[in-house]
Amino acid sequence: MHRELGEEGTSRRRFLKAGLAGLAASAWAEEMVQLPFDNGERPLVKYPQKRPLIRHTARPPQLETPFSVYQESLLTPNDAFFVRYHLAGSPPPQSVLSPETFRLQVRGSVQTPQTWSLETLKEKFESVEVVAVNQCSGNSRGFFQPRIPGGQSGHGNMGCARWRGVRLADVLKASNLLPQSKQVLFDGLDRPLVAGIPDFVKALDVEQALDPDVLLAWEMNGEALPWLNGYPLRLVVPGRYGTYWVKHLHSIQVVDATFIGFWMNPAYRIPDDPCAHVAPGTTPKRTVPIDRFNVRSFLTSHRSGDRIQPAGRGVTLRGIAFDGGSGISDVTVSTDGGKRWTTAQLGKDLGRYAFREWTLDWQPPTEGSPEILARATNRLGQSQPLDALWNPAGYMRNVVERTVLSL
Amino acid sequence: MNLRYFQCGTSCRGILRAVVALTGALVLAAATATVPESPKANAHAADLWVLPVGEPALPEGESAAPLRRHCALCHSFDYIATQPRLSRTGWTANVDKMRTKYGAPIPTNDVPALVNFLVKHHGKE
Repeated sequence: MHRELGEEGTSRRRFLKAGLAGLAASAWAEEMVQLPFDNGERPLVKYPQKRPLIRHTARPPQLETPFSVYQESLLTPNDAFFVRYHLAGSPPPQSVLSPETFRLQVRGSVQTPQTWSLETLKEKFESVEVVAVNQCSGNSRGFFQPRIPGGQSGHGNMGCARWRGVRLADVLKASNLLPQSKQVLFDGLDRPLVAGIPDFVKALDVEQALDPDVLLAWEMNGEALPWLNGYPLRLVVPGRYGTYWVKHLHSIQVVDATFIGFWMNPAYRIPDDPCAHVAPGTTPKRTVPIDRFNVRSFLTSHRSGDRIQPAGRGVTLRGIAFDGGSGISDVTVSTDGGKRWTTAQLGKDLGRYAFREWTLDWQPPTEGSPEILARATNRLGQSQPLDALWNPAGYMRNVVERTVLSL
Repeated sequence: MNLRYFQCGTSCRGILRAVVALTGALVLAAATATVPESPKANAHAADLWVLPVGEPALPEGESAAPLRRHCALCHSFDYIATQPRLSRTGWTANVDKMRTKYGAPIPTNDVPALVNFLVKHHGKE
């Protein structure tokens, strides 16, 4: 019953907690995986509409995609797509999500406040699709050194899907924003259960909200959004971190001032620095809200510790790369720990917000432990650092990752 | 060219390479994909909307009483158990963050016992 997980990293320890004497009948007799950092042991747990995923926390649910999924298809399957909530009242119960009774309100600094049902949204506005990566701000936080408290995820808090919905810009224009409007606030039906805990409300500047690529989406990879990914309607903000992709979206409020709610300030902020970093262990002088993804790339065909077999035969290295929306222009790969670099071949372009597949045919040496590095560059010339950068919240890791193979 | 990003891992060579690759991409046919583009349909789509029963057990004993009383209101115990081993300073800062920023209703006089428990069982000294 050992699953071929092949988690990123050098540790490939897998075991069954159920095998421990006396626990076989326990509710916690789950398969365990070991993420390759200290205290990285996690259960694989089956949630509704999901295959067993790496569970970081039960309440609120935080489920990570096993890394092997990125080698399964270029678009991430709905049943493997990561889940990240913040509040104890998550996910909202089915009773408040029924498409018959669900309503989206648009109000605040607008001439014409509106209330939309899913059906009227679909009727009134043009439906569009975008293929886009959603990535958690703290994806890969477990790899930061020095370590940083928070959700301790490996690399699996990211996914790429084909989203279908209506343009947020069209819905906002139908309400006629007032000239003084400055930001647009988004609130979902997940909520805190204790008085005094701030509700999860996110803000975009009006010009960001009017970007025609930002959608109110009800469909993901041709199916209704899974419950845990925001059913029945969520914000899709291509190129920007998942914190803005508000799930179970039921309220849009236009405001005339910069919103300073907890989840915009002090949460989800990065050092106001071109690389969003400070010296490890130090505090930034000034912070700004987290915004667009930096450039990342991953080898997905092989995991650290994998043995190349049979020896002497050529293999294809394959992986993915993405950025904050300019698109990937090239990926270079080193198979000798970073000494020499070869340009990989890029796969089909699904759009500037999507995972871009890369491949490189490689003749492995006959001995040694080849260290594979992949480094992507986007169309703005931005790339990835060879040494990891650090910030106090553990956001935006994008160092060139290293995978050590054996022969 | 956006110079702000220059320091973040981009060299002049990198930019030149980007330009060359862009041109090259127009010449080269798209690579043969090694995995399918689209995912399989969700075999679990019709699952009942019921969350898994149970949460990781809370620690027992008098020393864990403040943790059971306060932390468990907002999150399951695994949120604590999966954290890196923090120093006393680290755990103190975290409890403070929960109280003052997230608004967790933890009375001041419970803080020392809470921090002691966290440092002893989930920290390093």
